[in-house]
Amino acid sequence: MKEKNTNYQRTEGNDLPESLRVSPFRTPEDYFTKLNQQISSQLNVEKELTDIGSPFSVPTDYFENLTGQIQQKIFLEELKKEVPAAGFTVPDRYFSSLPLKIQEKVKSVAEDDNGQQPKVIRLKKRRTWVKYVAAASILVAGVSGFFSLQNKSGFSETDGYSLSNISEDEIINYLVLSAEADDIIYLSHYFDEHDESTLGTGIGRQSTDEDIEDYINYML
Amino acid sequence: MDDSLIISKFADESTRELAFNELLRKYQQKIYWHVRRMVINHDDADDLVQDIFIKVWRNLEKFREDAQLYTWLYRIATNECITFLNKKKLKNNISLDDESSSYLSETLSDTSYFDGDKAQLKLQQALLILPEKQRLVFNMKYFDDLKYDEISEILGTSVGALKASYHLAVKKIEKYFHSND
Repeated sequence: MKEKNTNYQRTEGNDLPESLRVSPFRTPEDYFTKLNQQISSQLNVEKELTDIGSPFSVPTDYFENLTGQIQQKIFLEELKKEVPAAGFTVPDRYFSSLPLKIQEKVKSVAEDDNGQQPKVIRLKKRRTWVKYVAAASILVAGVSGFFSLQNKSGFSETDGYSLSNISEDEIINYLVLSAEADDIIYLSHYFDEHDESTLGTGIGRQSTDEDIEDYINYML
Repeated sequence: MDDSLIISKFADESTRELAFNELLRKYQQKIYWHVRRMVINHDDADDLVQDIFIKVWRNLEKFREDAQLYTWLYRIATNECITFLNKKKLKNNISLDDESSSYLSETLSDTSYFDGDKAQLKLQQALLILPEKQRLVFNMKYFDDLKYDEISEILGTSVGALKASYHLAVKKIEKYFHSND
């Protein structure tokens, strides 16, 4: 197909002959019919690509923060060059002696772990402390009762109604379990005395019933 | 000796001591420096390291190999450090909610066995303005060069949170350095 020269202005006598006014260029067959389709399909493809967008994305505010992050990396690199280590030191030969120190500690801990049973028993004793206090309360009440009976009926200590009639084991158990360390020392004075001076006749003779009763009342 | 061999030798009573010695030899310095950077003072670090390895000795038999041995050691050490620092806070009448580590400033200025230059001292001072957990993250990343995954296993915090924490820590340190030039 040839194009007709469309530039057609009357220039009076200077007009070219009609035969020369035809374009020498040709187009492929159906070029203009196909061109329309090609342009619209090209436009559609571009539109779809725009809709799909890039397959890659960046975190929110990535580009806003990028400069700061780069600056921070530079700061860190410079800091690492300037401060590669914390600057702390240890005493001479510290690390060569540390394993031995730890091994020794481990051994002593292992021994302690093996010897932990008495601690458990001690806790149990603490829990049953109340029982002994209760027993002691009954004991004191009983003693007081005996004393009042003694006064009313005119019984005397020599008649046998004294603390010495209460089982020695019972008194010792109670006192030892409820007493503080200082008290044990105090009491041992009487027990030792008993061991030296008496045989099988109750708690130490030099301690009076009042002494013991006072002590029990103080403890309660 | 690799970690799995240490663990299997520790399980056997006849080689337990040998395995524990090997573990001490292999990890004592890493654990010491991790602790030291947190508590600052050598004597405190020394006590803590001994306690940490006693705990390790008591619990290594129960250690499950689905975790790395050194992350497990770091976790014990970190917990001991946090407990120690909390006790120190209480002793100094500082609320446990107060996250800053500034109460250690005095320890830093008084501590013996610090041969750091001006820049090293400045970094330590800057680190004390950080909350303890941020300081932990910074130390593990900056000085120990641990990966975020490893730190995550030690502290039980997500990698994302750790990255944010480290970023904030560096930002604060940078600000401190610029304002104290």
